[in-house]
Amino acid sequence: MSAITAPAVRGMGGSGWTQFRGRLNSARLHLFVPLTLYLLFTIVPFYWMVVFAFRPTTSNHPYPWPITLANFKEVWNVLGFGTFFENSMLVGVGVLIGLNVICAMAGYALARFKFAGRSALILILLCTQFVPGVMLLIPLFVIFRHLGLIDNLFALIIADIVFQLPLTSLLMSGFIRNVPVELEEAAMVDGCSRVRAFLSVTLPLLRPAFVAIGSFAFIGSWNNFLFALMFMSSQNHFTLPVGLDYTIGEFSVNFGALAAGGLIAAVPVVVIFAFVQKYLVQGLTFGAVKG
Amino acid sequence: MNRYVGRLAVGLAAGSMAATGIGVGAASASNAHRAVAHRTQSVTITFWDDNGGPRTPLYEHLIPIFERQNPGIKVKYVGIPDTSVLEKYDTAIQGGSPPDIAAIPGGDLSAIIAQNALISLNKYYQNSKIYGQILPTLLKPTQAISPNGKTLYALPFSGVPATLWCNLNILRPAGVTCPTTWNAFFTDAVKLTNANKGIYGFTMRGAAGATTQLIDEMISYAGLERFFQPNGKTSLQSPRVLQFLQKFVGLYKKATSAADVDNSYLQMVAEFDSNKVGMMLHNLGSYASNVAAVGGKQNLVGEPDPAGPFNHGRVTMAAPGLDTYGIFKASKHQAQAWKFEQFLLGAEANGYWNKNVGQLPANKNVLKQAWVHQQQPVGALLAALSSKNTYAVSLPNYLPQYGAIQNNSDPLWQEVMTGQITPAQWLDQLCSALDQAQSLWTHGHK
Repeated sequence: MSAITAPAVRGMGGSGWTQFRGRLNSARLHLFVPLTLYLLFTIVPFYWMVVFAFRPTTSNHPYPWPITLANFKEVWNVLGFGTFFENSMLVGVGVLIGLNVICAMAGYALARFKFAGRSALILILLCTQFVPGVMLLIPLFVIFRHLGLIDNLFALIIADIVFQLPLTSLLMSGFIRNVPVELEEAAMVDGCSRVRAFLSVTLPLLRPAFVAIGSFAFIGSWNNFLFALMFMSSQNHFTLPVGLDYTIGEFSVNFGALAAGGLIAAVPVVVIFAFVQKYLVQGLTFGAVKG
Repeated sequence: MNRYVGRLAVGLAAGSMAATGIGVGAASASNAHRAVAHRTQSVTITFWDDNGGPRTPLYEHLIPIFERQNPGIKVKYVGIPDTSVLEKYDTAIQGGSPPDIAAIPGGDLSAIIAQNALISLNKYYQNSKIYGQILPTLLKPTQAISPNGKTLYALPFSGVPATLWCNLNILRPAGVTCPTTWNAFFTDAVKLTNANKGIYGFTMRGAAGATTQLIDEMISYAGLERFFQPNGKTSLQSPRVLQFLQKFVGLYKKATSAADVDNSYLQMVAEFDSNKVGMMLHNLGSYASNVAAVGGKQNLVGEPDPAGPFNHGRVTMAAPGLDTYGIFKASKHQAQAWKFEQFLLGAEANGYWNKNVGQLPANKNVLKQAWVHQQQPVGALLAALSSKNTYAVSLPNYLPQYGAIQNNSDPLWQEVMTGQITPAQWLDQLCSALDQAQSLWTHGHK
């Protein structure tokens, strides 16, 4: 009996194991091991965030038990995360739209036109990236105060657009340069104006670029703590990063609320990445090999 | 054609930039709002709280009471996250848009005074109904922060003295009581430690804020009665202080977790609140979170820093950390802001605030309230501070560099803990920086 069954089991198990080992040995092991380790490093902090967010303050369990939503209720209802979330969303969407519109125009100008000082302009745009936001805090504050924009969410939209515009314009000009100009010329031969040719021919081809730049713009403004704290002076105008800081007191920290707030702040970013990652990779490698 | 389109593109870009400034309209709306407010004789003052979040509900309770008592004044509350208070205040002052009144941590007060941003409150205080009610233990150090040592640029509303916290869940099973002398502290910290079970006698602050904490402890152990000697040199340069530092750093890894080298107050308080640590040296401010973490008042004891071996029966301690209210020069409603400050410093509001936070109240009349004696750590600290046997040493918060000196010494303390430099080298650099700052200050005010 055993002589009949044993080879069958051994045969099946042996075949599966051999196949698995074969797969591991073949060029994948050196990928799996570092990626698994990297994943662990990435996932463990998130796991702890989930544990702290869902377990009561008095629990010491390494897993979220007993499960409670008290921390979420506290951050949403007591600390006002509902308002902060809404403000962050408004600013993020505003920056996403505004930045894409402006950097498409700036990128088009840089990609398609040769004008005096173009190289200098590109150099200046690059150099602006070396200036930290904190250095321009007081000048920007004074400008916004004169414009009556202190404690106004438009100040955040403008500041975020201004700071992200140089790099995104350069990125966009690279994307546009990789769209053959002949396509626009063909449209213009057929009677289109340049603007119409851009809107009808080039723009649809730039979808991955808009997704990539839009994602960066949204996430950049979503995480911006400095401007949100400095340019806003009303509790109901603060954004999520400022709200998260509310959970850290002068002499004590509410870790449950901090973790719950962190999850609320992280979810939209994770969802956005999940949906747009295909476009994001496409956008970042767009034109990487020019044929 | 190309040139035309190029100009069009540039024009569109400029137009879009201008279009994003549509929020300008909000300014005129705000002006209109102000005009309506003026017509109804109602004034709105803006109040910034330096610890927004945890303490917001307290002000949400107090502000409506004030508004009911003062129908012509509305208070706009803005909670500023504690981690960025000075940056926010500095930007607002330099940008010309500070609030009317703000809660200012005592450690940040000299930096704000140096910007000439606050008004003197001496006359307001002298002519007020709360005159004489503020505890001298808190009032004098606040006054000492001003360049002339007399002007009150802010008034204290709470004190946070250095505190030795004991978790009785750990101490009771070992038959240990909260130590009252430094010698007992060093012995008990080791006795309570059972590293195999993850239990430690003590949690040490190794990173940010370590120096601030150590200064309190050095003063207490060495029995120093003044921070600077008449010759302008700091009293910290003393063999007694060095002896303390050597004993103290000796506790690292012997009675503490190895991870303590990276402890700022966040990690230190979290470690203590994990119920795996017997003792912690912090201040009264962590009372509320400690009580919640150890499972109630019955499991927690807070005492003043222990008595040192050189004190000859006298207790020396660093003057408590301060929380203050100041009124900004740029305010157009200083009188109304003072009314609010006076309300907050009154016995009712001051008592309510400090009772809920678990800190020392500034108003003497609050001391008659029952809660002061029911909250053991507040009672113990208050008794120590009011005792004739206690000497409270004023810290040089008037030195503009004092905060930076402490911050710069923090990473060097980590080097002491990891054995890269000696406690003597650490103490030398700290004393040298303090002497230099004191010398600059003395010459600047001659």
